[in-house]
Amino acid sequence: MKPENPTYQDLENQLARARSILTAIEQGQVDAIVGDERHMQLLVLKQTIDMIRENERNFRALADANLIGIGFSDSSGNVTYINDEMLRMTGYSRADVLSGRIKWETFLAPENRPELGKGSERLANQEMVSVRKWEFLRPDGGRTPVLGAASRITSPEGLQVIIALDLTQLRQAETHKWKSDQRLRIAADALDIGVFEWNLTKNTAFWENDQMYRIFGRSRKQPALVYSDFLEQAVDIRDKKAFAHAFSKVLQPGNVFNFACRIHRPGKNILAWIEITGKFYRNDSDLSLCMIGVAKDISKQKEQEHAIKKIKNLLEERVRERTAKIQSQKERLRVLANKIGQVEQKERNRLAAVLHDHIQPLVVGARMHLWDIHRKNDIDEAHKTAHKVESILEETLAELRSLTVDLSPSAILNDGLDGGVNWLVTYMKKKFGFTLKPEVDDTIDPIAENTCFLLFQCTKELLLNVVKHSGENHATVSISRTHDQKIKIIVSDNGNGFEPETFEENQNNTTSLGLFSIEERLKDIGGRMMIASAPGQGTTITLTAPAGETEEAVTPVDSGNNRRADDKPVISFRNPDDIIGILIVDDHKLLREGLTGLLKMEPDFAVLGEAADADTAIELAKKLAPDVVIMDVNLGEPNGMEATRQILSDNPHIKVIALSMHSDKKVINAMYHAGASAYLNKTVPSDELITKVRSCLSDG
Amino acid sequence: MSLPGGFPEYSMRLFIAGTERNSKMAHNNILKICHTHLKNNYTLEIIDVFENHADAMAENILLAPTLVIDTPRREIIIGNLKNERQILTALGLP
Repeated sequence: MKPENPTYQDLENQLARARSILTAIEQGQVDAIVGDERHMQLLVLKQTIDMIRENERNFRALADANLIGIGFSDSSGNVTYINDEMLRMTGYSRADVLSGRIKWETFLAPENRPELGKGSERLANQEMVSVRKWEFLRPDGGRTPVLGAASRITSPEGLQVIIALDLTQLRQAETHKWKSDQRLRIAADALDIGVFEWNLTKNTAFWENDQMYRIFGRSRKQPALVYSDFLEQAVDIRDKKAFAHAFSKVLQPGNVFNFACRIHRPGKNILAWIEITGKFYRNDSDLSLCMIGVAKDISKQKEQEHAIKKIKNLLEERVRERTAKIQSQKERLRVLANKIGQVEQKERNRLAAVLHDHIQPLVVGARMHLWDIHRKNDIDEAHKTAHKVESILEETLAELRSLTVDLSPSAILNDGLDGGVNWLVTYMKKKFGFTLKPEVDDTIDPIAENTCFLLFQCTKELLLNVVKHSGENHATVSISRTHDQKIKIIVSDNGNGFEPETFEENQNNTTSLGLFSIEERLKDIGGRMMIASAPGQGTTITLTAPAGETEEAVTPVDSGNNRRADDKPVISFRNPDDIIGILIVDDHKLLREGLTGLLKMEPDFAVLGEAADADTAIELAKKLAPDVVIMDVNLGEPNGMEATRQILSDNPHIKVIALSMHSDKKVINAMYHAGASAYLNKTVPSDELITKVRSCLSDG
Repeated sequence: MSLPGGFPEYSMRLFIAGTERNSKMAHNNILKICHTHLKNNYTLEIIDVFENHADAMAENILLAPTLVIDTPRREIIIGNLKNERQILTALGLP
């Protein structure tokens, strides 16, 4: 409201206000001029201009940012302005553009130009040319793939705007992706795995390669199985629940899922094992939850696992059985060791009893008779007593022989297993009234000594078992040689028999232990034992063992001076009046003296000397040149064989008569081999020795 | 300090042109000054000239934005009120 009579101050104030109004307007601080409707229209116009300016600013900022290529042309298509990005894409310089001679067609590849022609027509009709892929042909001949669009700006000049987006990187990315996909497919094929993708939000599925279809037994024409269909249609009912549970537990982006399950292939309803491994992720574009994964057919692997598991179980079972058997054998061996101890003690007692009850009284009796001889003056009485002593000593020797045979039958040493069995026939009859029927092949020899002795012992033990347990008083033993050079012995009876299984169980039973012992000893030399028996149906036990290597039999040298002791007397060509010089070799003084006394009695014998060892004997034989040497075998080292060899080597005319307690075939043969003329047992009557001394010389 | 009877010491009216840029700036600037310097001891009336140009014309307001200070002393300031010193001087504040 204006004052009617303004003062100077009022005018000054108005002026200052007018200045402030102008300043505010100049500085653009005013938004509106307050007035009537016309003023308001002006205000709207101003706002529109501001908006256009704002848009222009934004558009220019967009162009200057060079994110996309932007260009303008006049209604004739002559390019009037393009931004730096468009310059880069087209390969032209700004000077080229500003020359005003360049049209849009210049930028385009020839194949895109007709399309732009159509576009120009549409632009003339104020239509927008839709977004399409073009290629710019650069002056250097290179090409730039772009996504372009054009539009006519509503203006009297008919200004056209063209925008383009460089697709080079996109193309490169696409190429790269295509190559990656190819590589993935090749790798998947090489690994024989199927590749798939599930979109769990949208319930869609994509199967990447053929292998995926093969694994599930489906054709390419059939749709890929989405998760829910996979679970319902493919997974075996036994694994369905576990699969769904495992899947739901890891259902988060970034988690990894792994599960092996059985699936059914359609049609033939074939069951297969597959392993699914996948990773969950969130789709960038629509945030849906997806899983990309691989599937592998592991049916063969599962079959192998199953087979291995079966073998493992079988092996474990075998190991358990074997362990139990070993335990059982261990226990039997322990019991056997105890039994052996007891048997050994029993045998010692028996030997002591024999020595005490039979041998000792005989020796004592002989000694008493000898005292009697000393006391008697009558020579005839002395002779009678001496005869009694001789008869007592013979009885003693017989007892000792019997004892020796019990301990180790000489029959087996002399005649092998055949002889051993024959001895058993006699032994069983004599001791138990038991009849043994032997059947022995001629082909069983040769048999290694150890094997022969072991088989004899085992047979004897089996027969003693028959006596004890069969309730029968007869049995058969057959011995033969198999085609693979094994000795087979079958001991058979028709007695009570037993259950073979109880042989395993009754560890402490005497029979069982005996059989176990036989079995173990046979095993030790590569043999075995088989039992065939049943209660009430008798027992047949078969023993087999390799015949083994035998030493070459030592045969006596069949020369004139090597006749056996039991040979028939030969005609003597020697002068019976000649005195026979004799050297006696024995490590027992008493025996030497006894022999000397005996031989001195013979008028044609002269005992030239005695030697207690081999070396002395050799020496004396050289020095005394005896006609006959009576040689003991056991002289220590060197033994009688060595001494014989040496003496005969020094003087081949000497005759050596071996005199020993040995009846071992090998020892006898060895002495003959060394050159002995005869072999006599120390138990032979004195007359036989005297005869042999004379006869060996006559043998020449 | 408020007037006896509890009336505020400062009373102002701001004429604006809708949500135009300068009007919005003026509105924000005066609110900032009020908050900082006048606390609760003021009244401020906002008048949009697009909606009510008659009041502006009655007050002889020709341009928007314009701040009219009624008390403690009548002053008129045109523009977006970005000069805080000018406003404080007009309000009689040091």
